[in-house]
Amino acid sequence: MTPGAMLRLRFIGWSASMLAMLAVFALFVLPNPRVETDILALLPQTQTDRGFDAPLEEFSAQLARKQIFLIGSERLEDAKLAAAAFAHALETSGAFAQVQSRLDSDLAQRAAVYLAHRAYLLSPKDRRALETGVTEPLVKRALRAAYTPTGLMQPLGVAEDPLGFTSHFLRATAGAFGNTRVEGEVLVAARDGLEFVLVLTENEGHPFASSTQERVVPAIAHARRAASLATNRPVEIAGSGAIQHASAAAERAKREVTIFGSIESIAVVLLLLLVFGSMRPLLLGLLTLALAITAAYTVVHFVFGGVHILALVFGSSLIGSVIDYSIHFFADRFRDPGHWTPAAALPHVGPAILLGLTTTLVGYLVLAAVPFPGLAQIAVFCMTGLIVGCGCVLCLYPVLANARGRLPGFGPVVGQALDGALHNWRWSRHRFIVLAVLAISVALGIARVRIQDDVKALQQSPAQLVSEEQRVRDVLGSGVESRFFLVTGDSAQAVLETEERLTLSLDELVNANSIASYQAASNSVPSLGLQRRNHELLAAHVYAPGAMLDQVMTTLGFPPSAVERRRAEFAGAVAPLTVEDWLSSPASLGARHLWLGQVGTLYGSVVTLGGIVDVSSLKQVQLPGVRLIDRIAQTTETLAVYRRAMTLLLAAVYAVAGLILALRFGWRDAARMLLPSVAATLATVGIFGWLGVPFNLFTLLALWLVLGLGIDYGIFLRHGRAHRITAVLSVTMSACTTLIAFGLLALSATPFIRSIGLTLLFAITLSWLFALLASKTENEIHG
Amino acid sequence: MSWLAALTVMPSAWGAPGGETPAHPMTDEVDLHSLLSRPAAKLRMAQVLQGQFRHSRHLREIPQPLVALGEFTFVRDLGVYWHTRQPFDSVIVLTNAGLAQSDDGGPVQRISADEQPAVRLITSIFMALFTLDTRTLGRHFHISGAVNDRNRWFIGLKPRADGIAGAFSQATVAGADEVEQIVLTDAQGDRTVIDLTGIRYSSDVPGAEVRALFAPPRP
Repeated sequence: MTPGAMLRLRFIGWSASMLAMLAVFALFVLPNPRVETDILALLPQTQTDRGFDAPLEEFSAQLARKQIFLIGSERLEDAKLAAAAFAHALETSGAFAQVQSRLDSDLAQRAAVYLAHRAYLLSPKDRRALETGVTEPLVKRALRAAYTPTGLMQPLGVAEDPLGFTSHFLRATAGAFGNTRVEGEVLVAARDGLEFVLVLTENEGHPFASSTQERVVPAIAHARRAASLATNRPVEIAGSGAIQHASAAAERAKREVTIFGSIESIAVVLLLLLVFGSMRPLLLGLLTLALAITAAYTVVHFVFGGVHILALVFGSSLIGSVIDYSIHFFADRFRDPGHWTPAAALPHVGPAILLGLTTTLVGYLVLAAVPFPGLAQIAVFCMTGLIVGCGCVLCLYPVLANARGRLPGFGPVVGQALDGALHNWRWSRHRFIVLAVLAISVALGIARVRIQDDVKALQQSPAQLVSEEQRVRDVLGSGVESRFFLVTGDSAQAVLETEERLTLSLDELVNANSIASYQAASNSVPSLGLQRRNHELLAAHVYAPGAMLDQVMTTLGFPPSAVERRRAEFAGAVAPLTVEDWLSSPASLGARHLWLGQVGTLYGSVVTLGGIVDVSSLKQVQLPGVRLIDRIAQTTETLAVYRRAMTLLLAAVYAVAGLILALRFGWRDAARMLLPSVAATLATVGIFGWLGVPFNLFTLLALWLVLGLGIDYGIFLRHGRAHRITAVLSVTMSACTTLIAFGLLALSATPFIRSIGLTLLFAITLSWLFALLASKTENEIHG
Repeated sequence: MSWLAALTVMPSAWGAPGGETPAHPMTDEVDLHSLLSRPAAKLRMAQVLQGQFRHSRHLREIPQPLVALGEFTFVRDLGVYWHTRQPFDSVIVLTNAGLAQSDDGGPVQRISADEQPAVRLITSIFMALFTLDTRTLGRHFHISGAVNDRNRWFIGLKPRADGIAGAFSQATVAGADEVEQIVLTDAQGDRTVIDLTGIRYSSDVPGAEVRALFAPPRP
C-alpha cells in the first residue's frame, strides 16, 4: 500500500468511527444528560459495615431531599397566612413529594396502636422505677395526677390510664423538635419578636440532579413570592436544605464555565488567527476539540452513569493538550513554508505527539487505577479525549489540513524573539546565586504550605443561603446534624437490642449536655426482650393483686369491678408490638426512615442526633454493632489519605515517565525534558506557601495536568531542535492556550475550581519558562 | 459547604399532609368581645390574681368526685402557681419554660416545655383562661358564648386540633365579674371542674415574695 493510500484509509476509518461515536452521543447521551455537582459524589464510598453503603446512601439521599422552611412575621396570624400560601404554592407545583405545614392529626391513631400493646410498653424512666421494686412514689404520682392539673397534660385521661404508664410511654416516644410549640395546627417557634411557622418539605428526585433543581428551585421562588403577597406585613422566610445549595453551586459552575469558556474560545481563536492567518487551522482545531470532548463525555456517561462537573472542568484541560497537538501540527508549516504538505508533516510531528500522549496517558492511567470514583472519571475523561484528539490530528489532518495562503509573519517573529532572548542568555555566577536563593525560598515555601483537606472549605455556598441556614438553626435552637449512628445486627430484634444499649449511652450524653436529643426507632418500638421485661415488671408490681393498680384505683374510689376490668384487659394482652406491625401502623410515622431493614444477611437502623455540642463525646460511644457515621469527617479523612497517596503517586509517575524518555533519548535528555515540570511543580507549591494559598487534593490534580503538559513541552522542543523557532513558537502557543483556559479558573468563586486555576496559572508559566531554559542548555551542548 | 448540614434530623410529630388551610380566627369575635368586655377589662389591668380553688375530677366509674383544695397565684407574664393543700400538699408552677412540680416540700421535678410542646400549650391555655385572653384562646379553640340577664356569662371552647383533644375535648368557662368556674371534659366524658373563689386583683407590679414563687430552683 502506498503511503497516500494508507493515509486515506486511516482518514476514512477514523472518520467513520467518529461519526458512529457522534450517533451514539446524539441518540443515547444527549436525551438524558446527567451532570453531577455534589463534591461527595467524587469521593470513594466511605467504608461502612458490610453492604450497608447502599441503604445508608439512600438514607442520606432522603435526608438530602428534605428541607425546613421557617415563615416568620411579627404577628402569628400573618405568619400563618404566609405559611399557608407558601405551602399551597409548593404543593401545587408538583415538584414536592411532601409538603407539611400542619401537625398531623393522627395522634389519636398513634395512641390507639400503642394502647393495643400497652401491656408490653413502659417509658425508660418508669421501667427503671419499677425495676427498683419501690412503687410508692409511682402510686403517689398517679394520685397527684388525678387531683391536680398535671393530669390534664397527659395524653390519656385518669380513667383510661390510671397509673399514667401509657401516657408516659407516649410522651417518651413523641420526638421533640427544638424550640417549637404547638399553635392550633401548626408548629411555631419565636425569635427576635417574630413568630415563625414551620413548613417541612421533601422534594421529588435527587437534589443534585439538574432536572430536580429545575423544578424545585423555581417552585420555591414562586412560593416565597406567594408568601409575601399573602399578607401586607413583612414576612421573613428562611430555608434550610441541600437542594438550594446544590442548585446555587451548579448555577455558579455553569455560569463560570460559560463565561470563562466564551472568553477562552475567543482568545484562542484570536491567537490561532494571528499566528496561522487562516481559518482552516482554527476550524480543524475546534473540530478536534469538539470530537475529543464529545467522545470523552460519551465514554464517561456510559462508564459512570453520569458526568461530574469536575470532570468537565478538567475536560477543558483538553483544550490545552488537544489544541497543543493541532498547534504543533500546524506550526510545522513554519519549518518550510514554501513546500509544506500536511502528509509530509506527519513524520515530523507524529512521533513527538505520540510520545507526548504516551507520557500523559501513563499519568492518567495511574489516576484511573486509584480507587477514587472522581479521579477515575477525570482520568477516563482525559484519556479518551486525548486519544481521540491525537487520533484526529494524526488521521484527519494529513488529508484535511491543506496549506493555502500566506503565513503571517507574526509567529516566526515571536519565535525568533524568544529564541534570540534565549540565545543571549548565559549562566553567570550571579545568576547561579539568584537561582540558589530562589531554590532555597521555594524550599522554605514548601515547608510552610498550608494543607487543606476540609471538604467544607472546598465548596462554598452563597452567603445568603449560609445565613438562612444559620437562621433556621438559631430559631429552632436545635442544630441539624449530619452525624448519626448506624446500628446493625443479625436480626431485627438484635438491632433493636443494640439500639437500646446505645440509647443508654446517648441518654448520658443528653444529661451531660453533649447532645440535645436523639431519635431512635427503639424508642417507639422496643425490642421484644425489653417488651417482655416490661410485661413481667407490670405483672409483678402493678397488676398483681394488692399491687399498684389496686392501691391507686381503690384509693381513688373506683369500684372493684373497674379494677378487675383493667386486670382482665392486661391478662388478655398477649402480643407485643413487632417491628412489622409498627412499620405498617401510624405509630411509625416520622420514624420509619430510621429503619433500614434487611440488607443482605444483616439488619440495620439509624439513630439520628440533634444539637451536637461535643463531637468527641460521640466518638467515645463504642459498642459492638454500632458505628458513628460522620460523612464530613470521613470525607476530610479520605481526602487527606488520597492527597498523601497521590503525592507519592505523582512522584512515581514522574519516575516512570523519566524511564520511558530515558529509554528513548538517554537519561541526559530525559532529565532535560522532565526537570522543567518537576521544578515548576515544586516552585508552584513554594509560591503557594508564601502566598498562603492552601494545598489540597485539587492542587495535586492540577499538578497532574502540569506533568502531562510540561513533558509535552520538553518533548516538542527536543524533537524540534532542528527547527528551534518553530518549536519555540509551538510550545509558547500551547502554554498560552492553557493559560487562557486555566488562568480564568483562578477567578472562580468555587474554591476547588479556583485551586485548580491558580495551580495551573503558576505551574504552566513556570513549566514553559523552565522548558525553554532547559532546551537552551541543550542547544549549547548540541551546537 | 453548609448544604451538608442539611442532612437533617426531622421531627417525628409530623404526619401526612392535610388538605385544608389553617383555621382563621373565631367566628363571632365581636359578640364575644362585648360579652366579655366587662370582666376582660378588669382582668386586663390585673398584674396579679390570687384566690382559692376547688379542683374536682368527676370520673364516670367513681360515684364521688375527686376533690382537691388549695390556693393559686397568677402573675401576668410569669405564670401560675398552683398550691394544692388537700388531700395532700403539692405545688405546681406553670411557666412558659414548662412545668415544675414539688410534693410535700420535696425536690422539684421539672418538665421542660422544650421537651414537651403539650406542656407549653396547656400552660398558655391556662394562662389565657385566667385573663380571658380570647385571642390566645381563639388560636386553639372554636369559641362560642352566651350571657344571661343577671350578667352571668359562659363561653364554650372546642379544640381546633386533635393535638389537645387527648387532654380535653371541650371546655366551658363561666363567671360574672370574673372567671368563676372552668369545666374541662375529655373524650370519654370524664370532667374536671375548677371553681375559683375569693379572687383578689392587684394591678401593682408583683412583689419580691410573689416573684420568688416562680424562681427556678437552685440546681
